Amino acid sequence: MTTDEELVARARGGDLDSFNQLVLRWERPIYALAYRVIGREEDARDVAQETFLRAFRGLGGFKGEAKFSSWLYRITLNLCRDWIRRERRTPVAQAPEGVDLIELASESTPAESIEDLVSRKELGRAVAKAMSSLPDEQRTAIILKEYQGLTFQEIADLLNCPLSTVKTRLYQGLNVLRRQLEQAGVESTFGSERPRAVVRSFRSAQGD
Amino acid sequence: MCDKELLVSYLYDELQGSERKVFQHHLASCRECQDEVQGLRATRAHLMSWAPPEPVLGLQVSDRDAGRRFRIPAAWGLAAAAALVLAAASAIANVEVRYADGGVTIRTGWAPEALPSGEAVSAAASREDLTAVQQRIRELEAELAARGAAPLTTTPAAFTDEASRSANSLTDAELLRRVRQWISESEKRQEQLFATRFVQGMRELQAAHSMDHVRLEQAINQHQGAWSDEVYRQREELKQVFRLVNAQQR
Repeated sequence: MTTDEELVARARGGDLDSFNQLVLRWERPIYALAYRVIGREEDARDVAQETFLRAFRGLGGFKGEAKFSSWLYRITLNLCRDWIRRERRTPVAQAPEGVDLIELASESTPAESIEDLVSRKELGRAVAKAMSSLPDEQRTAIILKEYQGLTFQEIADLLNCPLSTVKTRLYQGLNVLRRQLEQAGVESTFGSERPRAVVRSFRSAQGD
Repeated sequence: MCDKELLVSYLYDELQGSERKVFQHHLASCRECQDEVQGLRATRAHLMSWAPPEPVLGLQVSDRDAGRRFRIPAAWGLAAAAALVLAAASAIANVEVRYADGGVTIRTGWAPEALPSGEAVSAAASREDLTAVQQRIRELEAELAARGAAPLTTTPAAFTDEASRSANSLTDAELLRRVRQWISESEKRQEQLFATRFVQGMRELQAAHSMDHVRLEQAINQHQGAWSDEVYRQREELKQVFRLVNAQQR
């Protein structure tokens, strides 16, 4: 497979197709990052789009001292920061109202029961809620580590802060999440396949 | 005192060699760190449940997004746009309906309306105008019916005057003037936006135009068929009346 760096070099020479290959390669991670930081689908899409536009226009300024993806992440995070400032509100993870069992059933794989799926969705919602309560720095660090899979060093470079700061933010953030999820009734024992407490609360909410 | 930075690094499997051994040694004897590692591992597992929605993305950077590097030179863009406008105008001018020899001429009349707005070159506009043409045909039919058995030979001439007055009001000079005016107005707008919109509009126009042309032809054939039947019927009735009158006069 052609590496990012090769595609970047061609794109710098004016090859639009090469750049669009990079877009195809990175649009999902970039969207996911934007979505998790600002929590709104439409705006996350806009941020992703704007990220690639800026990247394309700024290709001349990208000297390749960082990975192309890190450079993209930096653009995305800057755009997210601008968005949060502009909207002047705490990002709130969008959680769909109610759970559509039919929709869920169509998503379910044979290996996963409806009950498992419901609990996974419910859990996802609980996680999104807990994440939205974190301070920006902690949330960003966790998103970059957990969901984007960056190394501590990459995160430190991206956020322009010392390695120890990144680790501290992660440690503090994870502990807040742990407490919040426990309060929400999610079992914290590692290895529990199914957070039964959440399933129970979902059932009682359904009047079961 | 426990080193939480080490704990986090251990949690994410980013401890190397000696550091890793040191921490594992500590972990074996520290209940607090054991609990914490276990609890945070569970938290990490839960975090995986938060999936972003699956959007239809398909993002692509196109020439028009490319900024200065790939931008169409302004002068070329305008010249191309002018050529396209003229092409559009002539294509539109071709949409006209003729009945019989030197008979009724109907133009869509949408060229003078569509051009100055700058954005009206769209499928919606052409559909509207097709409706307008059909409406006009219906009016003419109604008028024809209202005149009933009036001498048929004079009717087409009357229609021609009426219809072509409005249609011919757009002379070539006027068309050119309007096109120039439109271009000068559009210069104020972003040239880039203008060029892309226009190309897009032209594509839509071409598609809609060829489609409307077919539909228009169908409509004309239909109406022409109906009309010649009507003419034939009225002519037969007239002959009958003349025969009756002649017979009475004799």
